[in-house]
Amino acid sequence: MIELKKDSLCFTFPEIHPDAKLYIDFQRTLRIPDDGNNHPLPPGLGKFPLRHVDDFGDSAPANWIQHGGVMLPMYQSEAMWLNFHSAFISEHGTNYPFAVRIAAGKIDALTGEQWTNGIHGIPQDYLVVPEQPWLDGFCVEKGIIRQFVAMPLGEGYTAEEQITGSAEHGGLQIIVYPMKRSAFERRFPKRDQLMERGVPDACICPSMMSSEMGLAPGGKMRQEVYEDPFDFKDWDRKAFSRCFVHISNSLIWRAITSEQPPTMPPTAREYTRAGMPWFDYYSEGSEAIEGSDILEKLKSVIRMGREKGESPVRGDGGIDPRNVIRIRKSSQVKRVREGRF
Amino acid sequence: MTCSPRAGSPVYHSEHIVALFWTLKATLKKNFNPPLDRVMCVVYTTHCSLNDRGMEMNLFGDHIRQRREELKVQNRDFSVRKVAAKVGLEPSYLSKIERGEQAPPSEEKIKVLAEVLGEDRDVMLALAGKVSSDLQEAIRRRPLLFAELIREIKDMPDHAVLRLVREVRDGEW
Repeated sequence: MIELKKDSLCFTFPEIHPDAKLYIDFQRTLRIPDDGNNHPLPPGLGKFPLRHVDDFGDSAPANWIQHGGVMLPMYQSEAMWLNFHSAFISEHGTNYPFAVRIAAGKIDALTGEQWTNGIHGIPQDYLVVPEQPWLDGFCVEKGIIRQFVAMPLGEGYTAEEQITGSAEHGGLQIIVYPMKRSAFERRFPKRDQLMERGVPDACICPSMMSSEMGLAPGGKMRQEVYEDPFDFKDWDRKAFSRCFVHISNSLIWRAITSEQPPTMPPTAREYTRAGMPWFDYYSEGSEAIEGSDILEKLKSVIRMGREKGESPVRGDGGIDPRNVIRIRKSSQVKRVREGRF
Repeated sequence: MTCSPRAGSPVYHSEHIVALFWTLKATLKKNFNPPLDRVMCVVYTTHCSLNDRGMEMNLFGDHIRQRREELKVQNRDFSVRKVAAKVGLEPSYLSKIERGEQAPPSEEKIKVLAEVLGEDRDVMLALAGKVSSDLQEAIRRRPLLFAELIREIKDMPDHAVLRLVREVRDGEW
Protein backbone atom coordinates (compact mmCIF):
# COMPACT_ATOMS: atom_id res chain seq x y z
CA MET A 1 0.00 0.00 0.00
CA ILE A 2 1.25 3.50 -0.83
CA GLU A 3 0.05 6.66 0.89
CA LEU A 4 0.97 10.28 0.48
CA LYS A 5 2.09 11.75 3.80
CA LYS A 6 3.36 15.30 4.00
CA ASP A 7 4.86 15.23 0.51
CA SER A 8 6.46 11.81 1.08
CA LEU A 9 5.46 8.50 -0.45
CA CYS A 10 4.88 6.00 2.34
CA PHE A 11 5.14 2.36 1.25
CA THR A 12 3.77 -0.05 3.83
CA PHE A 13 3.63 -3.83 3.85
CA PRO A 14 1.50 -4.73 6.89
CA GLU A 15 1.08 -8.26 5.55
CA ILE A 16 4.87 -8.74 5.84
CA HIS A 17 5.64 -6.87 9.06
CA PRO A 18 3.73 -4.13 10.94
CA ASP A 19 6.81 -1.91 10.79
CA ALA A 20 7.77 -2.59 7.18
CA LYS A 21 7.46 1.07 6.17
CA LEU A 22 9.53 2.93 3.64
CA TYR A 23 9.35 6.68 3.06
CA ILE A 24 10.58 8.29 -0.16
CA ASP A 25 10.63 12.02 -0.75
CA PHE A 26 11.95 14.13 -3.56
CA GLN A 27 14.35 16.85 -2.51
CA ARG A 28 14.80 20.16 -4.27
CA THR A 29 18.47 20.92 -4.75
CA LEU A 30 21.09 22.92 -6.62
CA ARG A 31 22.03 21.91 -10.10
CA ILE A 32 25.74 21.14 -9.98
CA PRO A 33 27.90 22.50 -12.81
CA ASP A 34 28.55 20.16 -15.72
CA ASP A 35 32.20 21.15 -15.98
CA GLY A 36 33.88 17.77 -16.15
CA ASN A 37 34.64 17.71 -12.42
CA ASN A 38 33.19 15.23 -9.95
CA HIS A 39 31.44 17.35 -7.34
CA PRO A 40 30.39 16.53 -3.78
CA LEU A 41 26.72 16.09 -2.94
CA PRO A 42 24.57 19.24 -2.89
CA PRO A 43 22.15 19.93 -0.03
CA GLY A 44 18.42 19.31 0.23
CA LEU A 45 16.37 22.50 -0.06
CA GLY A 46 13.11 20.96 1.07
CA LYS A 47 10.68 18.49 -0.45
CA PHE A 48 8.92 18.97 -3.76
CA PRO A 49 5.15 19.08 -3.24
CA LEU A 50 3.47 15.80 -4.21
CA ARG A 51 -0.16 15.48 -5.25
CA HIS A 52 -2.42 12.61 -6.31
CA VAL A 53 -2.96 12.86 -10.08
CA ASP A 54 -6.54 11.70 -9.50
CA ASP A 55 -7.27 14.99 -7.72
CA PHE A 56 -6.73 16.88 -10.96
CA GLY A 57 -8.60 14.73 -13.44
CA ASP A 58 -9.89 17.77 -15.35
CA SER A 59 -6.57 19.54 -15.75
CA ALA A 60 -3.82 16.89 -15.71
CA PRO A 61 -2.86 15.16 -19.00
CA ALA A 62 -5.05 12.15 -19.74
CA ASN A 63 -2.12 9.70 -19.83
CA TRP A 64 -1.18 10.73 -16.26
CA ILE A 65 -4.64 9.72 -15.08
CA GLN A 66 -4.20 6.43 -16.90
CA HIS A 67 -0.83 5.82 -15.18
CA GLY A 68 -2.18 6.78 -11.76
CA GLY A 69 0.31 7.74 -9.06
CA VAL A 70 1.42 11.20 -8.02
CA MET A 71 2.88 14.35 -9.57
CA LEU A 72 5.34 17.08 -8.64
CA PRO A 73 6.50 20.37 -10.24
CA MET A 74 10.01 21.08 -11.57
CA TYR A 75 11.43 23.98 -13.55
CA GLN A 76 13.38 23.27 -16.72
CA SER A 77 16.96 22.34 -15.75
CA GLU A 78 16.06 22.09 -12.04
CA ALA A 79 17.70 19.19 -10.19
CA MET A 80 16.38 16.73 -7.62
CA TRP A 81 17.48 13.85 -5.45
CA LEU A 82 15.59 11.04 -3.82
CA ASN A 83 15.67 10.61 -0.07
CA PHE A 84 14.91 7.19 1.43
CA HIS A 85 14.31 6.13 4.96
CA SER A 86 12.69 3.11 6.49
CA ALA A 87 11.11 2.74 9.90
CA PHE A 88 13.55 1.99 12.73
CA ILE A 89 12.45 -1.04 14.70
CA SER A 90 13.97 -0.66 18.12
CA GLU A 91 13.39 -4.21 19.31
CA HIS A 92 15.47 -5.46 16.37
CA GLY A 93 17.87 -2.51 16.53
CA THR A 94 17.65 -1.78 12.80
CA ASN A 95 15.61 -0.21 10.05
CA TYR A 96 13.46 -2.58 8.01
CA PRO A 97 15.35 -3.37 4.76
CA PHE A 98 13.89 -2.74 1.29
CA ALA A 99 15.03 -3.25 -2.28
CA VAL A 100 14.09 -0.20 -4.34
CA ARG A 101 14.25 0.06 -8.10
CA ILE A 102 14.21 3.53 -9.65
CA ALA A 103 13.67 4.40 -13.29
CA ALA A 104 13.39 7.72 -15.13
CA GLY A 105 11.23 7.58 -18.24
CA LYS A 106 11.25 3.81 -17.69
CA ILE A 107 15.06 3.73 -17.99
CA ASP A 108 16.64 2.06 -14.97
CA ALA A 109 18.75 4.68 -13.17
CA LEU A 110 21.42 2.12 -12.21
CA THR A 111 21.72 -0.09 -15.30
CA GLY A 112 20.26 1.98 -18.16
CA GLU A 113 18.07 -0.99 -19.11
CA GLN A 114 14.43 -0.50 -20.06
CA TRP A 115 11.85 -1.03 -17.35
CA THR A 116 10.33 -4.35 -16.45
CA ASN A 117 8.56 -5.11 -13.22
CA GLY A 118 10.84 -6.99 -10.85
CA ILE A 119 14.42 -6.74 -9.63
CA HIS A 120 17.54 -8.49 -10.84
CA GLY A 121 20.75 -9.31 -9.03
CA ILE A 122 23.14 -9.40 -12.02
CA PRO A 123 23.65 -6.64 -12.83
CA GLN A 124 22.08 -5.22 -9.71
CA ASP A 125 19.24 -2.93 -10.79
CA TYR A 126 18.01 -1.89 -7.34
CA LEU A 127 19.38 -0.16 -4.31
CA VAL A 128 19.04 -1.29 -0.72
CA VAL A 129 17.57 0.89 2.01
CA PRO A 130 18.77 1.71 4.69
CA GLU A 131 22.29 1.13 3.23
CA GLN A 132 21.54 3.68 0.50
CA PRO A 133 20.10 6.86 2.02
CA TRP A 134 19.93 8.94 -1.19
CA LEU A 135 20.08 8.72 -4.96
CA ASP A 136 21.02 11.85 -6.88
CA GLY A 137 21.21 10.66 -10.46
CA PHE A 138 22.10 8.09 -13.08
CA CYS A 139 24.90 5.69 -12.12
CA VAL A 140 27.40 6.28 -14.95
CA GLU A 141 30.61 4.96 -13.38
CA LYS A 142 31.54 3.14 -10.20
CA GLY A 143 31.11 5.76 -7.47
CA ILE A 144 30.03 8.48 -9.93
CA ILE A 145 26.53 9.56 -10.91
CA ARG A 146 25.15 12.18 -13.28
CA GLN A 147 22.62 14.39 -11.54
CA PHE A 148 18.88 14.10 -12.26
CA VAL A 149 17.99 17.29 -14.16
CA ALA A 150 14.45 18.01 -15.41
CA MET A 151 14.01 18.76 -19.11
CA PRO A 152 10.86 19.01 -21.22
CA LEU A 153 9.86 15.73 -22.77
CA GLY A 154 10.13 15.78 -26.55
CA GLU A 155 13.26 17.90 -26.93
CA GLY A 156 15.72 15.02 -26.95
CA TYR A 157 17.58 15.68 -23.68
CA THR A 158 16.13 13.04 -21.37
CA ALA A 159 17.80 9.69 -20.76
CA GLU A 160 14.65 8.03 -22.09
CA GLU A 161 14.83 9.87 -25.40
CA GLN A 162 18.58 9.37 -25.79
CA ILE A 163 18.29 5.62 -25.22
CA THR A 164 14.95 4.72 -26.81
CA GLY A 165 14.57 7.55 -29.33
CA SER A 166 11.04 8.28 -28.13
CA ALA A 167 9.46 10.59 -25.56
CA GLU A 168 6.76 8.35 -24.25
CA HIS A 169 6.86 8.08 -20.46
CA GLY A 170 8.82 10.82 -18.68
CA GLY A 171 8.61 11.09 -14.89
CA LEU A 172 9.99 8.56 -12.43
CA GLN A 173 8.95 4.98 -11.81
CA ILE A 174 9.54 3.34 -8.45
CA ILE A 175 9.02 -0.24 -7.31
CA VAL A 176 9.67 -1.37 -3.75
CA TYR A 177 10.20 -4.87 -2.35
CA PRO A 178 10.41 -5.57 1.39
CA MET A 179 12.72 -8.15 2.88
CA LYS A 180 10.96 -11.41 3.75
CA ARG A 181 9.96 -11.42 7.39
CA SER A 182 11.73 -14.73 7.99
CA ALA A 183 14.97 -13.32 6.54
CA PHE A 184 14.59 -10.13 8.57
CA GLU A 185 14.08 -11.99 11.84
CA ARG A 186 16.95 -14.35 11.07
CA ARG A 187 19.38 -11.56 10.19
CA PHE A 188 18.25 -9.11 12.87
CA PRO A 189 17.10 -11.07 15.91
CA LYS A 190 15.30 -9.23 18.67
CA ARG A 191 17.51 -7.33 21.04
CA ASP A 192 16.49 -9.34 24.11
CA GLN A 193 17.78 -12.39 22.24
CA LEU A 194 20.94 -10.45 21.48
CA MET A 195 21.31 -9.57 25.14
CA GLU A 196 21.31 -13.15 25.92
CA ARG A 197 23.65 -12.49 22.91
CA GLY A 198 11.25 32.29 -6.71
CA VAL A 199 8.18 32.03 -9.15
CA PRO A 200 7.75 33.98 -12.44
CA ASP A 201 4.48 35.97 -12.44
CA ALA A 202 3.76 35.53 -16.12
CA CYS A 203 0.55 33.65 -16.80
CA ILE A 204 1.38 30.63 -18.88
CA CYS A 205 -1.39 28.95 -20.76
CA PRO A 206 -1.11 25.14 -20.40
CA SER A 207 -1.77 24.64 -24.07
CA MET A 208 1.26 26.76 -24.98
CA MET A 209 3.82 24.34 -23.65
CA SER A 210 4.31 20.73 -22.78
CA SER A 211 3.46 19.99 -19.18
CA GLU A 212 5.48 16.79 -19.08
CA MET A 213 9.06 16.65 -17.95
CA GLY A 214 11.58 13.86 -17.93
CA LEU A 215 14.95 13.47 -16.24
CA ALA A 216 18.13 14.10 -18.15
CA PRO A 217 21.75 13.57 -17.05
CA GLY A 218 23.39 16.67 -15.56
CA GLY A 219 26.82 17.26 -14.01
CA LYS A 220 28.82 14.52 -12.31
CA MET A 221 29.12 13.96 -8.60
CA ARG A 222 30.59 11.44 -6.22
CA GLN A 223 27.99 9.01 -4.98
CA GLU A 224 28.33 5.29 -4.53
CA VAL A 225 25.41 2.95 -5.08
CA TYR A 226 26.08 0.06 -2.76
CA GLU A 227 26.00 -3.64 -3.52
CA ASP A 228 23.21 -5.60 -1.92
CA PRO A 229 24.71 -6.90 1.38
CA PHE A 230 21.97 -9.55 1.69
CA ASP A 231 21.07 -12.64 -0.33
CA PHE A 232 18.91 -11.99 -3.38
CA LYS A 233 16.47 -14.61 -2.12
CA ASP A 234 15.92 -12.58 1.06
CA TRP A 235 13.73 -10.13 -0.88
CA ASP A 236 10.03 -10.89 -0.96
CA ARG A 237 9.49 -10.57 -4.69
CA LYS A 238 5.80 -11.46 -4.44
CA ALA A 239 5.06 -8.45 -2.24
CA PHE A 240 5.74 -5.19 -4.02
CA SER A 241 4.28 -1.72 -4.50
CA ARG A 242 5.00 0.57 -7.38
CA CYS A 243 4.34 4.23 -8.09
CA PHE A 244 4.49 6.45 -11.19
CA VAL A 245 5.75 9.92 -10.28
CA HIS A 246 4.82 12.41 -12.99
CA ILE A 247 6.85 15.58 -13.35
CA SER A 248 5.00 18.72 -14.35
CA ASN A 249 6.69 21.84 -15.66
CA SER A 250 6.55 24.27 -12.70
CA LEU A 251 5.29 27.01 -14.98
CA ILE A 252 2.05 25.18 -15.58
CA TRP A 253 1.75 23.51 -12.15
CA ARG A 254 -0.50 26.38 -11.08
CA ALA A 255 -2.77 25.85 -14.09
CA ILE A 256 -3.16 22.18 -13.16
CA THR A 257 -3.42 22.45 -9.39
CA SER A 258 -4.22 26.14 -8.65
CA GLU A 259 -1.25 26.00 -6.26
CA GLN A 260 1.92 28.04 -6.41
CA PRO A 261 4.99 25.90 -7.18
CA PRO A 262 8.13 26.32 -5.06
CA THR A 263 10.46 29.17 -5.98
CA MET A 264 13.54 28.67 -8.15
CA PRO A 265 16.47 27.28 -6.17
CA PRO A 266 19.70 29.31 -5.98
CA THR A 267 22.53 28.45 -8.34
CA ALA A 268 25.41 26.27 -7.14
CA ARG A 269 27.71 29.29 -7.40
CA GLU A 270 25.47 31.48 -5.23
CA TYR A 271 25.18 28.70 -2.69
CA THR A 272 28.92 28.03 -2.58
CA ARG A 273 29.77 31.74 -2.33
CA ALA A 274 27.56 31.91 0.75
CA GLY A 275 29.85 29.38 2.42
CA MET A 276 27.08 26.83 2.70
CA PRO A 277 28.04 23.17 3.03
CA TRP A 278 28.29 20.38 0.49
CA PHE A 279 28.26 16.71 1.48
CA ASP A 280 30.17 13.46 1.03
CA TYR A 281 28.72 10.18 2.21
CA TYR A 282 30.58 6.98 2.81
CA SER A 283 29.70 3.64 4.26
CA GLU A 284 32.65 1.72 5.60
CA GLY A 285 32.85 -1.84 4.41
CA SER A 286 30.26 -1.41 1.66
CA GLU A 287 31.24 -2.05 -1.94
CA ALA A 288 29.84 0.11 -4.75
CA ILE A 289 28.26 -1.39 -7.85
CA GLU A 290 29.81 -0.75 -11.26
CA GLY A 291 28.45 2.05 -13.42
CA SER A 292 26.33 1.33 -16.47
CA ASP A 293 27.92 1.32 -19.94
CA ILE A 294 24.59 2.43 -21.38
CA LEU A 295 24.27 5.37 -19.01
CA GLU A 296 27.92 6.34 -19.38
CA LYS A 297 27.30 7.05 -23.07
CA LEU A 298 24.49 9.53 -22.36
CA LYS A 299 25.12 13.14 -23.31
CA SER A 300 24.71 15.63 -20.51
CA VAL A 301 22.20 18.49 -20.82
CA ILE A 302 25.01 20.99 -21.44
CA ARG A 303 26.68 18.86 -24.10
CA MET A 304 23.40 18.12 -25.85
CA GLY A 305 22.47 21.80 -25.74
CA ARG A 306 25.80 22.74 -27.26
CA GLU A 307 25.30 20.25 -30.08
CA LYS A 308 21.81 21.59 -30.73
CA GLY A 309 22.95 25.22 -30.53
CA GLU A 310 20.74 25.82 -27.50
CA SER A 311 21.33 27.11 -23.95
CA PRO A 312 19.03 24.94 -21.87
CA VAL A 313 20.37 25.90 -18.43
CA ARG A 314 21.01 29.15 -16.56
CA GLY A 315 23.93 29.96 -14.27
CA ASP A 316 26.11 26.91 -14.77
CA GLY A 317 29.35 28.59 -13.65
CA GLY A 318 32.14 26.57 -12.06
CA ILE A 319 32.35 26.20 -8.30
CA ASP A 320 34.99 25.41 -5.76
CA PRO A 321 33.20 23.89 -2.78
CA ARG A 322 35.49 24.06 0.23
CA ASN A 323 32.98 23.45 2.97
CA VAL A 324 32.36 19.73 2.50
CA ILE A 325 30.85 17.77 5.35
CA ARG A 326 31.61 14.05 5.39
CA ILE A 327 28.81 11.87 6.69
CA ARG A 328 29.52 8.30 7.71
CA LYS A 329 26.78 5.72 7.56
CA SER A 330 27.14 4.97 11.23
CA SER A 331 26.70 8.66 12.10
CA GLN A 332 23.32 8.84 10.41
CA VAL A 333 21.20 8.07 13.40
CA LYS A 334 22.63 9.29 16.66
CA ARG A 335 21.95 6.45 19.00
CA VAL A 336 23.28 6.00 22.48
CA ARG A 337 26.13 3.52 22.38
CA GLU A 338 25.89 0.55 24.66
CA GLY A 339 29.23 -0.45 26.19
CA ARG A 340 30.39 -3.32 28.36
CA PHE A 341 29.04 -3.52 31.87
CA MET B 1 10.70 8.23 15.52
CA THR B 2 13.06 7.76 12.61
CA CYS B 3 15.56 10.26 11.28
CA SER B 4 17.51 10.30 8.07
CA PRO B 5 20.08 13.02 7.79
CA ARG B 6 21.70 14.51 4.65
CA ALA B 7 20.56 17.78 4.60
CA GLY B 8 19.29 21.15 3.71
CA SER B 9 18.59 21.67 7.22
CA PRO B 10 15.99 20.69 9.67
CA VAL B 11 15.65 24.35 10.49
CA TYR B 12 14.88 26.07 7.23
CA HIS B 13 11.84 25.80 5.03
CA SER B 14 12.72 25.53 1.37
CA GLU B 15 11.73 29.12 0.68
CA HIS B 16 13.80 30.35 3.61
CA ILE B 17 16.98 28.85 2.25
CA VAL B 18 16.46 30.58 -1.08
CA ALA B 19 15.79 33.88 0.65
CA LEU B 20 19.00 33.27 2.58
CA PHE B 21 21.06 33.78 -0.51
CA TRP B 22 19.43 37.03 -1.41
CA THR B 23 20.30 38.39 2.02
CA LEU B 24 23.75 36.88 2.01
CA LYS B 25 25.73 39.77 3.45
CA ALA B 26 23.36 40.34 6.31
CA THR B 27 23.34 36.64 7.06
CA LEU B 28 27.09 36.30 7.23
CA LYS B 29 27.38 39.35 9.47
CA LYS B 30 25.24 37.56 11.99
CA ASN B 31 27.75 34.69 12.15
CA PHE B 32 25.28 32.30 10.66
CA ASN B 33 26.15 28.66 11.38
CA PRO B 34 25.44 26.44 8.38
CA PRO B 35 23.53 23.21 8.96
CA LEU B 36 25.37 19.94 9.38
CA ASP B 37 22.64 17.62 8.14
CA ARG B 38 21.43 17.29 4.57
CA VAL B 39 17.83 16.59 5.39
CA MET B 40 15.86 15.42 8.35
CA CYS B 41 12.57 13.63 8.08
CA VAL B 42 10.52 12.70 11.08
CA VAL B 43 7.74 10.25 11.56
CA TYR B 44 6.05 10.50 14.90
CA THR B 45 2.50 9.99 15.96
CA THR B 46 0.69 10.40 19.22
CA HIS B 47 -2.63 11.60 20.53
CA CYS B 48 -3.73 14.57 22.49
CA SER B 49 -6.95 16.10 23.63
CA LEU B 50 -6.72 19.32 25.56
CA ASN B 51 -9.22 21.72 27.01
CA ASP B 52 -7.69 23.76 29.74
CA ARG B 53 -5.55 26.70 28.63
CA GLY B 54 -3.17 26.49 31.57
CA MET B 55 -2.89 22.79 31.04
CA GLU B 56 -2.01 23.47 27.40
CA MET B 57 0.78 25.83 28.38
CA ASN B 58 2.21 23.30 30.81
CA LEU B 59 1.82 20.35 28.51
CA PHE B 60 3.37 22.24 25.61
CA GLY B 61 6.20 23.62 27.73
CA ASP B 62 6.86 20.32 29.49
CA HIS B 63 6.84 18.47 26.21
CA ILE B 64 9.33 20.70 24.43
CA ARG B 65 11.61 20.87 27.47
CA GLN B 66 11.60 17.10 27.85
CA ARG B 67 12.25 16.57 24.15
CA ARG B 68 14.98 19.22 24.00
CA GLU B 69 16.75 17.78 27.03
CA GLU B 70 16.62 14.27 25.57
CA LEU B 71 18.29 15.58 22.42
CA LYS B 72 20.77 17.64 24.42
CA VAL B 73 22.14 14.49 26.05
CA GLN B 74 23.42 13.48 22.60
CA ASN B 75 24.05 16.88 21.08
CA ARG B 76 24.88 20.16 22.80
CA ASP B 77 23.22 22.08 19.97
CA PHE B 78 19.97 21.55 21.83
CA SER B 79 20.63 24.01 24.63
CA VAL B 80 17.87 26.59 25.24
CA ARG B 81 20.05 29.28 23.71
CA LYS B 82 20.85 27.38 20.54
CA VAL B 83 17.34 26.07 19.98
CA ALA B 84 15.92 29.55 20.55
CA ALA B 85 18.36 30.96 17.97
CA LYS B 86 17.34 28.35 15.41
CA VAL B 87 13.66 29.09 15.94
CA GLY B 88 14.13 32.85 16.07
CA LEU B 89 13.04 33.38 19.67
CA GLU B 90 14.73 35.05 22.61
CA PRO B 91 16.25 32.38 24.89
CA SER B 92 14.49 33.87 27.93
CA TYR B 93 11.14 33.69 26.11
CA LEU B 94 11.70 30.04 25.17
CA SER B 95 12.72 29.28 28.73
CA LYS B 96 9.49 30.84 30.03
CA ILE B 97 7.46 28.85 27.52
CA GLU B 98 9.14 25.67 28.75
CA ARG B 99 8.27 26.54 32.34
CA GLY B 100 4.64 27.31 31.40
CA GLU B 101 5.03 30.99 32.31
CA GLN B 102 4.34 32.12 28.76
CA ALA B 103 1.72 30.97 26.28
CA PRO B 104 2.97 28.94 23.31
CA PRO B 105 4.36 31.05 20.44
CA SER B 106 2.77 31.63 17.01
CA GLU B 107 1.84 28.82 14.65
CA GLU B 108 4.83 29.56 12.42
CA LYS B 109 7.27 29.45 15.35
CA ILE B 110 5.73 26.21 16.63
CA LYS B 111 6.19 24.63 13.20
CA VAL B 112 9.86 25.62 13.11
CA LEU B 113 10.31 24.41 16.70
CA ALA B 114 8.73 21.08 15.75
CA GLU B 115 11.17 20.72 12.87
CA VAL B 116 14.17 21.59 15.07
CA LEU B 117 13.12 19.09 17.73
CA GLY B 118 12.16 16.41 15.22
CA GLU B 119 8.54 16.43 16.31
CA ASP B 120 5.31 16.29 14.35
CA ARG B 121 4.06 19.81 13.71
CA ASP B 122 0.37 18.90 14.07
CA VAL B 123 1.00 17.20 17.39
CA MET B 124 2.96 20.22 18.62
CA LEU B 125 0.20 22.59 17.49
CA ALA B 126 -2.41 20.45 19.24
CA LEU B 127 -0.36 20.52 22.45
CA ALA B 128 -0.42 24.30 22.13
CA GLY B 129 -4.21 24.26 21.67
CA LYS B 130 -3.97 25.26 18.01
CA VAL B 131 -4.98 23.75 14.69
CA SER B 132 -2.78 24.26 11.65
CA SER B 133 -4.04 27.04 9.38
CA ASP B 134 -4.02 24.74 6.35
CA LEU B 135 -6.41 22.38 8.16
CA GLN B 136 -8.62 25.30 9.15
CA GLU B 137 -8.64 26.44 5.54
CA ALA B 138 -9.54 22.94 4.35
CA ILE B 139 -12.49 22.86 6.73
CA ARG B 140 -13.57 26.41 5.78
CA ARG B 141 -13.56 25.45 2.10
CA ARG B 142 -15.87 22.45 2.60
CA PRO B 143 -17.40 22.98 6.06
CA LEU B 144 -20.36 20.63 5.78
CA LEU B 145 -18.32 17.77 4.39
CA PHE B 146 -15.50 18.01 6.95
CA ALA B 147 -17.75 18.75 9.92
CA GLU B 148 -19.75 15.63 9.13
CA LEU B 149 -16.64 13.57 8.51
CA ILE B 150 -14.92 14.61 11.75
CA ARG B 151 -18.07 14.05 13.85
CA GLU B 152 -18.48 10.67 12.20
CA ILE B 153 -14.97 9.43 12.90
CA LYS B 154 -14.03 11.28 16.10
CA ASP B 155 -14.81 8.35 18.39
CA MET B 156 -13.55 5.62 16.09
CA PRO B 157 -10.58 3.62 17.30
CA ASP B 158 -7.27 4.39 15.58
CA HIS B 159 -7.21 1.22 13.53
CA ALA B 160 -10.62 2.09 12.06
CA VAL B 161 -9.53 5.63 11.23
CA LEU B 162 -6.39 4.28 9.60
CA ARG B 163 -8.57 2.25 7.26
CA LEU B 164 -9.80 5.54 5.86
CA VAL B 165 -6.34 6.53 4.59
CA ARG B 166 -6.14 7.11 0.92
CA GLU B 167 -3.89 4.95 -1.20
CA VAL B 168 -1.92 6.22 -4.16
CA ARG B 169 -3.60 4.57 -7.10
CA ASP B 170 -1.49 2.50 -9.47
CA GLY B 171 -2.76 2.53 -13.06
CA GLU B 172 -1.63 1.14 -16.40
CA TRP B 173 1.92 2.07 -17.34
